[in-house]
Amino acid sequence: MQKKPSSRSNPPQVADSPISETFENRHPSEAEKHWAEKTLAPTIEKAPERPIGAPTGINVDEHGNARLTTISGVPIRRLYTQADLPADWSEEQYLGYPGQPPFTRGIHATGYRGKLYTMRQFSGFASPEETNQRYKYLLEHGGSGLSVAFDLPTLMGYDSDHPASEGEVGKCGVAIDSLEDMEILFNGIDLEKTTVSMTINSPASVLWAMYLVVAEKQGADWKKISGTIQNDILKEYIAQKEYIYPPAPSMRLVIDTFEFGSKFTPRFNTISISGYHIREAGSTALQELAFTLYDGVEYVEWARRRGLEGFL
Amino acid sequence: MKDRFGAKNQRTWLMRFHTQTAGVSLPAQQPMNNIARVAVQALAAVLGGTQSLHTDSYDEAFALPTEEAARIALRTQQIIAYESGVAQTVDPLGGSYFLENLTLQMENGAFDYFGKMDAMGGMVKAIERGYPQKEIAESSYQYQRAVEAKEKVIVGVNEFAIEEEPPHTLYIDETVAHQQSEKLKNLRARRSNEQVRSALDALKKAAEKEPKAAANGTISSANTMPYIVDAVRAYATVGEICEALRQVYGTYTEVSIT
Repeated sequence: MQKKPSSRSNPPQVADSPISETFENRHPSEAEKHWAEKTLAPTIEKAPERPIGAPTGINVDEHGNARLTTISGVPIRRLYTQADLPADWSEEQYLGYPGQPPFTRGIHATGYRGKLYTMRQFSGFASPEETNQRYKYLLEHGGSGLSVAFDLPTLMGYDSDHPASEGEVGKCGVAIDSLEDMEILFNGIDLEKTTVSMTINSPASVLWAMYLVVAEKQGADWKKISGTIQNDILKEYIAQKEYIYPPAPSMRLVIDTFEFGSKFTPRFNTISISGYHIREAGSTALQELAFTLYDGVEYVEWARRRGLEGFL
Repeated sequence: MKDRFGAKNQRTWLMRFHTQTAGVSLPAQQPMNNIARVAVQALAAVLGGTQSLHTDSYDEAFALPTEEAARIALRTQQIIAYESGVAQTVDPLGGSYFLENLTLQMENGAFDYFGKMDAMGGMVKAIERGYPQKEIAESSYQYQRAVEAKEKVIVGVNEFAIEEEPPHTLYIDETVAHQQSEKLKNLRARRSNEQVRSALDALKKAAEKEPKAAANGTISSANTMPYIVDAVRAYATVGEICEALRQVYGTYTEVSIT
């Protein structure tokens, strides 16, 4: 728009006034148009909208009007109405009902009324002994699942006594070197009754194998245990950077866990595809969604190539 | 799953998800403010229909959570679940003009990205040419620029800041490292190192082979998992097992994205 800003002493012209956006590329109802002219325009005239934060060339437009965005920089309109949905928008087609395809309103027909979300606090620090105490504390205080944070050497596949581990042992999570540590970590915690999530990626198959052997030693049935390993190696290359091997062999190890799990631990989630680290690395919400879902597409493609199609 | 892969099993059409509040959004300045941030983010997760939730502790920017901070984080979840009322009705925001509009924008934008990455030959290929890494780096730069220009307000950081003592950092000493090293030494003396070596050799052999789709009811003969389980049973360490695989696969060096 090339027009000069309207003088503040005159009533704003629709074309270059802040209310012009009400009419651009959308078809507001008569009632909305009426509101924009009779209520909105005088309000803005009296009290112009202001950007959040210091006004820069980005968050004000050429007329000095505030330009507000989501945290990801997507422009946000002042007001959303029916006119901001596609012409064919209908509740039946776009939303549907909970517990029914396309599941836009959630996967359970009763939402949280039948089952609350799992309160799963991610924790782990220092030694397996101390972390075991914290887990018992969390379970006693109403936590409903466990989530294991490993220290950096474990995440990178190094033992605590490796030179590369120096200064990092037990710092950002629990240090696990061998089956012995895993036995200590879950001492007194019934793995058939507790769901455990483990944030472990490149060495996921190793830590998962340790978990399975601990469960077995407790007398738990592999067919009954449930939990999750993160095992999402793609986002390591994209964002988190805690990888060991090149992408292709890493993918092969992931598919090995899918195949093994589908046969021996049917209730265990052998992957949890994560957007978290992508977003933490500074992506927009859209990139977080797109890359994360597309990672999922890639895992499915590789799984099919291994002949794993039973789940489809 | 339904459209792209023709999946018939409805369970694959479901998006089951866990949510974690954003660690990066929790500054060390005026850390108690993070309790409010976590509550807002956790509320968003519940309104979004999450199946599982982790709430960060307010002190995560500078230390592993204290017991009290961890309890407040859990209590935040309980307040949302039991007091706020949002869990009492199914999908309370469904049909909001604003959210439905944003949802459609996200959906269309995601499919645009899918198209680009399909054209590259999939995610592994896209990663190898640094595509998602570059996209994220650009967004991250834009965000940082906005924060530095104070276009975006971060309460207590670039606005409403106060003079405060630098946070007291929880210091984890090297006791754990010594303990773990001691345990490893004892373990290596106690276990059968012969058994460990043969388990690792078997693993390496499997890892070298190209796994093929298995016949019904079995798994690929080259699947590494059974060999890893055997190595674990013999008390091979995380480092030893990963080292065996490093010898087969090598390590990865990132592509440059500049």
